Amino acid sequence: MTRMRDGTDTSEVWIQGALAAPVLVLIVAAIASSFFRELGPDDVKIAASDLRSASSTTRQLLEQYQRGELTKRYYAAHIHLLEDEVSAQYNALNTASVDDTIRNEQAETRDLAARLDDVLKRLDDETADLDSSRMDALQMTRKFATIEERLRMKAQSQ
Amino acid sequence: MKKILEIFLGILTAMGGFVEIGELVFSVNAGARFRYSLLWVVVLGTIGIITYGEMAGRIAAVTGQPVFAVIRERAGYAAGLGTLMAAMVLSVLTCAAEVGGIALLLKFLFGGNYFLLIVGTVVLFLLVVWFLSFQAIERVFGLLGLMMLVFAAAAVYVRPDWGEVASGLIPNIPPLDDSKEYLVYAYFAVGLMSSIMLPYETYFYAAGAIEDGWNPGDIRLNRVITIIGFGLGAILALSLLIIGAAFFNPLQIELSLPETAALAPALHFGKWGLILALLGMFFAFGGAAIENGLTGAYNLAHFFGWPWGKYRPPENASRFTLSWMVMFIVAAAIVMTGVDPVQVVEYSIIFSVVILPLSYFPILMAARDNDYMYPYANGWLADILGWSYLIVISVAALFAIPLLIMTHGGKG
Repeated sequence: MTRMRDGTDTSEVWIQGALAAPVLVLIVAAIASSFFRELGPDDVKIAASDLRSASSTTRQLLEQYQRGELTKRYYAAHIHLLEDEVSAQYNALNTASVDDTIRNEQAETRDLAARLDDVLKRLDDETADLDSSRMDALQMTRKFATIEERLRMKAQSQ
Repeated sequence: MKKILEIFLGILTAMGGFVEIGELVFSVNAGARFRYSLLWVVVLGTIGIITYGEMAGRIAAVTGQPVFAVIRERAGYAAGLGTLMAAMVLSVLTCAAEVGGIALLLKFLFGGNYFLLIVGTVVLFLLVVWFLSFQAIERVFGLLGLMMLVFAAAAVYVRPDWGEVASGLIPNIPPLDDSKEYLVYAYFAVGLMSSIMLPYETYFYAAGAIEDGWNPGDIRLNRVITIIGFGLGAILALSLLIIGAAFFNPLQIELSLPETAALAPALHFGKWGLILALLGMFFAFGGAAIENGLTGAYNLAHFFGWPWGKYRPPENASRFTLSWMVMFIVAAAIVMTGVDPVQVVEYSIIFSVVILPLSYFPILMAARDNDYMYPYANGWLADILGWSYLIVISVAALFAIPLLIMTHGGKG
């Protein structure tokens, strides 16, 4: 049996490595399988919750920007990153297959995501109407919250 | 007088360096999701980091041994090597998240391309670590990180319900909508505690004590810095959670970008509040990035017995120097893939819980060993706290990954 400089058996290292390997394989397999399964109520609820947060952040940003509390650079960078986030959510919702029971909620969330993406794109333009965008964002926050609640009930009943 | 100044600066440095990107996001989102009910976890985690930080600093001052030398000696080569590998992965991930967070901050402050800003950030840190002494790095980032105190002021201005704040400081489980929410609550409790007790903090703190040439005469300094410095640092974490509860919860906002947190100081202090908050984050995240980069190199050098230390010329500690450079470059490469820094740090924090017992058990064993530490071994209080926290973090380590999977990373 080979011994390391401090006297540890190399076989001991191999045994510990062999024990750790299946755990790593399981973690990788769990992550990989999550990319291919169809979306359930929890997944769409999480998307709706992220979008609710994004629309509320948009509204708050607009409000504080209009009051002169934010720098132009901060406001523009934030809007730009929110746009990336919302657009990624829209693409994920648009391409994923979903459970039949939540098809309506998925479609509503996706359509609202498209609307929010549109609002954020318009805000890139300096002449955008900030007041109406703020009102839009507020309405969407409420709608996303309603969808979230419906999905929560569905997830509970399943 | 010099000693008093040293203590004062040490406290401020520990306080300014207390918060990093993961702790900021976890604290604000814990408040946004569960209002004040997780405040007690900040207190619990802070006592934990004080307990183990003090032990690691004391061991370093008495024996001149850093944490990974102790781990290898007490846990054996194989278990020590496993802990080292896990710690290296977590340090590089945390460093990557901080670098990504800083590149985003620079984008918010000055604009520019995110990927170029990552490169610029890493080049800046390589130059800083190459040219500045250990003490200068610690002081510059720790003291300028105190700009984060604008969050403490904002936490008062958001008019929290102080009665609820006081109740939140006592361990509690609030009434929640469904059973899944209780799992999310547990996930946030584990994540919040881990973000405060991140193992790299003790590795770095003990290595720093040796870099600063501490000896048994510095044991009192060690105690004062850990208790007051980390204790005051916790005020920042508490403030962030209060801002989450009083400002972001009613707005139904959970942070996906750390920079969103700056909206609260901006609300009350205008553009200057915003700029102070962003600059404070820059130095806090920058300090954490450098600490993690250096921690990787320290850990390798301590475990394998290489010559190490910022006080040595690079040619006399070449493997150590090369290691911290590689740490920064790998960290930059990770965030250059476009991965979200916030997600990286959340995973790194949850996986850190798993190695907490593996890092802290050898520290506890060494600190209470009379033959090794005489006459500076643990007293009864350090022993009780050490064992109690070891049980708490071992339980947290068992549940951390199942909670991460069951709650979809805390999303519900």
